Amino acid sequence: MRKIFALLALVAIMGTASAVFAISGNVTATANVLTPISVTNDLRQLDFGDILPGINKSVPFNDANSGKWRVDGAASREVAITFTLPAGLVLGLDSVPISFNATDAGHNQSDVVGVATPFDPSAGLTQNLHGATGELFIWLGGTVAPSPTQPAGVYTGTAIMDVVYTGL
Amino acid sequence: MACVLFPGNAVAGDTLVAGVPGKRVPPLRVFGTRQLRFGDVLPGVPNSVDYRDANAGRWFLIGMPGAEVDLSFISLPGDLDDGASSALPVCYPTQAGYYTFNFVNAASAFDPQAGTTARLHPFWGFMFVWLGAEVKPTVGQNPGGYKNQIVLDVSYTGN
Repeated sequence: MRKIFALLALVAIMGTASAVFAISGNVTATANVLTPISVTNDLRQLDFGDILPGINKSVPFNDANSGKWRVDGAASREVAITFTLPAGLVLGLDSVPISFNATDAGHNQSDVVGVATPFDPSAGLTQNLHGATGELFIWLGGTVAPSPTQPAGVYTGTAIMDVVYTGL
Repeated sequence: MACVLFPGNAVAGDTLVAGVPGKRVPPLRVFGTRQLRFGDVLPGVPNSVDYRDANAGRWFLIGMPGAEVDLSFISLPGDLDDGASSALPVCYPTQAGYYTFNFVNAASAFDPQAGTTARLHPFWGFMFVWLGAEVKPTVGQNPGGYKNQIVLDVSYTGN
C-alpha cells in the first residue's frame, strides 16, 4: 500500500510538472521600408528681376524665372504637397505684396515644364511620383504689386514646400 | 519519450495529464506557418496589419483533443531590425485571434500582451493562432528590409 501511495505521489508530481511545460513556435515579422522623401531646394529661385514702382509684375510657373523644386521618393507613390507662402517680399521695414493665383504652380513627373499641369499653390496638391524615377518637379510663379512709392532695393521672401507620403 | 523534430518548430514529448494518473497525452506541437508581413512601408506612414488580414502572422498547434492550453507571446519585439543599426518601431494595438480551424473570421480575439487560455479542437486537437501589429516608421527611416522574431509559447494547463 505504501508503494502505491508513493507511485501516485510521483505521478501527481510529474503531472503537475507537465502542465507548465511549454513549447514555442516562431514567426518572422518583416517590413520593407521604401525610400524617404527628399526635396531639392532652390533648384531655381522665383526671380521677379527688376520691377518698377506702381507696376505689377507676374512670373508664370512655366517661365524661365519661376521657382523650381524636385521631389524624390518611392516610385509611383502618392505624396501630398502643401505650401507656406509669403504675403510680401521684405527689405528692412518695407515690403512688396506678393500674391499667388489658382494657376501659379505647376507639376510634372519629368523636368519638362511645357507639359506641366497647373494647380493652386494655396490649395496644395496630391500627386503620384514618377513610376520609374520616383521624381516629381514643382514650379511656382506669382505676382508682386509694388506701390508707386516703393523704396528701391532688393526684396526677398521665402516660400516653403512640405511634402509627405499619403500612404497610397 | 518520443520526439519528432520539425525544422524551425518545437515539439514536446509525451506528457502526463495532471490529475489523470497514467493517462498519456500526445505532445503539443507548434508550427509558425505564415510570416507577419507589412510589405512595403513608407517613411512617416504607419502601417497596420489586422490579425484577420492575409498578411497576419499565423501559428498552427496540435495536441490532445479537447485539452486546454495556455497561449502567451513570450517575445513581442518592440522593433524590427535591418541587420545594421536601424530599428523600425512595432506595436500591438490590434488583437490576436485563435480558432480550432483555419478560419480566421470565426476566431476569438484576445490581447497578445496578456495571452489567453483556449481549448484545442475536441476531435482533431487543432488550433490556429493569428497575430497582427503596426509598424511606425519615422519620416527619415532608413530604407531596406527589417525583420524580427515573434515567439508564441504554448503549454497544457492540465484542464
